[in-house]
This record gives sequence, C-alpha cells and structure tokens, in this order.
Amino acid sequence: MASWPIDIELPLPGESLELDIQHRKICLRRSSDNQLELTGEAYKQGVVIGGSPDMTTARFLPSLGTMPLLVFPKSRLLCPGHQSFEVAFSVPVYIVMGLGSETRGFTRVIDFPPMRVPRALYGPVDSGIICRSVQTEIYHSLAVARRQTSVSEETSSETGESNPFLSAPPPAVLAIKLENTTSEPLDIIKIMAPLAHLNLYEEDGDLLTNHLRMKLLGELEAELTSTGSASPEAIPLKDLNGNPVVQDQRPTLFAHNYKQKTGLEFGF
Amino acid sequence: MIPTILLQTTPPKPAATTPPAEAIPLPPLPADATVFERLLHMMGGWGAISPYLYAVIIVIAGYLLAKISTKVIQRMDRPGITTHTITVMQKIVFYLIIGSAFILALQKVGVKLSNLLAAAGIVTVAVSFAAQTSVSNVISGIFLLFDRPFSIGDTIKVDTTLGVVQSIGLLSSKVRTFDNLVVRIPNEALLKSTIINYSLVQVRRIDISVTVSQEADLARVRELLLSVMREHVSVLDEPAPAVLTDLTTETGVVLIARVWVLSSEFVQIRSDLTTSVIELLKSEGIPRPRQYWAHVEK
Repeated sequence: MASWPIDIELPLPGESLELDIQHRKICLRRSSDNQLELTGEAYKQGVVIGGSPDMTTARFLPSLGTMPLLVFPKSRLLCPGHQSFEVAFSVPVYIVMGLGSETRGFTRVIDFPPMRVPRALYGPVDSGIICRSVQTEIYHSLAVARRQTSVSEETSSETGESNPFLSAPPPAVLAIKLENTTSEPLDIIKIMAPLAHLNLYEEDGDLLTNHLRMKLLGELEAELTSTGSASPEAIPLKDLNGNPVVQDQRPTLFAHNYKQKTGLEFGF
Repeated sequence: MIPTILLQTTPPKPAATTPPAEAIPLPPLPADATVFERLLHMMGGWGAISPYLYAVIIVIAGYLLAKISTKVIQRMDRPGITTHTITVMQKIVFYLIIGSAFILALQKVGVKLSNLLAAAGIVTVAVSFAAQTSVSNVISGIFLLFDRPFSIGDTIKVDTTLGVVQSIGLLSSKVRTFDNLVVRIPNEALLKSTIINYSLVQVRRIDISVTVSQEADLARVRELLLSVMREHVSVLDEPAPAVLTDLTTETGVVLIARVWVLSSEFVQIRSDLTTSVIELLKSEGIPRPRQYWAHVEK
C-alpha cells in the first residue's frame, strides 16, 4: 500500500488543524476562504498563506531537497584494489506541503526540512560546493538498511494529527556500489550524493532512492552514476499533481578528494 | 666602359585640384519676407545651414539610439551574463554609437576623417597635459572594467571604505557603504589601492580568540568551545571546527576557535558565537584572565 502522498482536508474558515511534521508542531488555521495562517514553534511570527476558496486539501510528499548531501560514514570504508562491494545508508528527507484540490491541482507552498541537517563544504575553500551533511550508519545491504529505517504500518493512521509518516518520516535508503578501479586499497571517508538528480521510490512504506555506482578512479577522483531504482518492485514517487518526476541522471564526476577529510590542510 | 643609364624624366603633372565652388549669390529678399526668411537669408540660405542641421539630427539620433541600445542590453537576462558584463557591454555600445554619430556629423559639415585623425594626435597630446587626472581615471576605469578585480554587486573594502559596488564608471566608481552612504572613488585611486573583495568566495573562516586563566582546564575549555561551535546550525561541518592553543601570555592562555561559515552569514554568526562563548565560559565557571577575556580577530 502506498503511503505517499498524504492528503489532509483543510479546516473550514475559522477552524484550525494541529499537525506534527518532522517533530515540529504546527497549526494551520483557515482565517478566511482564501487565507490560511501557519503557526508553530518554527514559525513564531506566523505565515499567512494566500489561496482560493476551492483550496480544500493539504498534500504532503517527501523530497530529497535540492542541495547535494555529503555523507560521512560512521564506520570506515576500505575498498581493496580491483574489488567492489555494496553498502546502504539513510538520507534525511524534506516534507513538501502543497495546497489545492484533486480537481484544480496542487501548488507547492512550503518545505519542512529535517530537524537538523548542517551544511558542509565539499572541496577546497575557494571553489568547493556547499552541501548538506550527515553522519550516518553504514548497512551492509539494502534490506538491512530498510529494516532499520522503516516506519511501522501498525502505528500509522489516516489522520494527519498522528500520522507517523509526517511526524517522523522515514529516511530514504540509498544503496551504493563502490568499485575500486585501481590496484591500491582506497579509504572512503565521505560520499557526495547529488540528491537533486535522484528520484524517490516507495516500496512497502519504505523510501528508496536510485541505486548509485561509485567508481573510484584514483586517490582524488570518483565517478557517480545512477543505475535506476534500487529495487525492481519500487514505485517512483510522483509530484504533487501526480505527474512523473524526471531528473537529470548524467554521471557526476568528483574531481576533489573523497578520501581525505578536509581540516587542517584546508586553511588551518 | 661605364654604361650610361638614361633616365627619362617627365615633367611633373600639376596637382589635381578641384575648382573652388563659386558662391551662388542669393536672390534678393522680397519686401514682404518673414522673419524666418530674413534669418535664413542672413545665414546664407538653406543650402548653407542644412549640413549643420543634419549633423545635429545625426548626433541626437545617435544619442537616442545609444540610449535605446543600452536599455535593450540591460534587459538581457540570461544565465552566465552578470551585471558587470552587461555594464561593460552597455558602455562599449554607448560610446561606439556616440562616437560613430559624431564622426558622421563632422563629415556632414565637411570635416574630413583624415584631417580629424591628424588633429586627434595633437588634441590627444594637449588633452593629456591639460586633463592628466581625468585621462588617468578613464584609463583606470577601462582597466577596472576588463581586469575585473571586482564586479558590480560585490562587497569590497578599499582603504577604510567597506561597501557594495554600485557602479563602475569611466571616471569613478560608486560604493554604497553599509550605513547607506554612497562613496565615489576615482578609478585611479581604486587601481592604486589594495582592494579586499569579500564576494569572490562563498565561505569564510571566523577566528575567535579566547583568553583563559593559566589555571583553567584547557581540555575542558576546548571541549566547551567545540560544543558551542558544533551546536550552531549555520557552522559548516566541513571544514570541521577546531580549537588550537595559540600562546601563553602573562594574562593567561590564548586559544583560537576556528569555524567556517557562509560568507553571507559571517557577521551574524561571528556575533552569535562570540556571545555563546562568553556566556558558556561564564556559566561553566572557567577562570578568567586578569585583563581581558574574549575578542574576535578582525
């Protein structure tokens, strides 16, 4: 059964709706036919959202965001020469809220980011790329990663107030095959995942991304390519209006050092 | 025998000259001529003033065309074309059109281009002496436009002036300071000055110098400083925050807390971190040095 999108009926004028999204309590109050007010801990000043009287539903979808993600595995990854192996790890997701109706379509309104995903620089300080960063457990297979990150269906319900998929959305699982094309063993301390170029898939309530292949071309260079869905049964998530999402999945070449952790050598 | 070379010489031909145009006498004015007709007659008739009128029309048309062209260029909004590039293109197109219009206008009133070029050399020497500073500024302006030590919209510091570049003109450039004053800096001065450009890189390092008493537990202070920096949501995880022991002075031990942040958030985060460091060290009861405690290195 597909968990996404999650549709919640908007309150009538003068009424309000309490929601828990990404561990943040928010309140959606319909102040008039064509105005909604969003308040909560993260929105202390309040956000007034314009709309129309036929705006009847709030639709929620997970998203990977637009910034690349710099993943620091908690365990050391060592890939011997001419060897390959597969690992999986979790990627935090954003929750996108759209407003509209089934007949008139939905418009993207606001993104709810994960609780804390700090930023990091990938590459030298004069020309690096700003990414989100996460320190994550490395699982030895996609199945193990899915078991560890899945949300129990038993606790889920159709009402928005207690929907576990909204309050604590499961992170997406990213499976990656590491291939060392050199003859030397190589350490991998970080992986840069170009999330804007990846699709989200769903299978049994679990979120998956594209399967990636990281070819280690040398000590300073790696190439990432997407090889489609991580699982043949997974269904690609569509956009707010139910249209398929098409992402640019050209190979990404990383010319910077994926092996070394930047620190004293970069400006200190 | 010495060969005799016979040179056949031809008498020089007289230079081809065009006979001077004979002045056509204007017909006498009728007694009931209007003021305009009298004025025209006084200036030598329509034939005499029409080239000047055409020249004026050419200059005005050139100016309008140059203005329209710069407006069209200003509306170019394509990825990869910066405001700086648009400004350079505007200036080149404007001065090319204006220059061409002037040359056309001068030709219309009978000034030959060759004569103009010959005169230009003399004029250049004269102008160079008379307006040395202006010429220097113009040349500096051209260098600034093409060398691009900064672009329009960059935050720069020139001597004591810190602000955002508003425009780069031929004679001077305008910088708007953060207290909303517009400072006009001659291009020559800009070219000679040391310019710090804060907009070229997207990340900057903040160094917070913390002095604690020599009796303080340095490992504990180090941990506290690292925790403050890691907790701030806008501090970059990579390059990772670091705390280094700098030196020991009479007043205490100087530690330097270093973090990397986005350039656009530098001032706010520096303020946040300095406040957090002071409050945390106070609340944790870290012994203070005698004279000073914490300051941010500029």
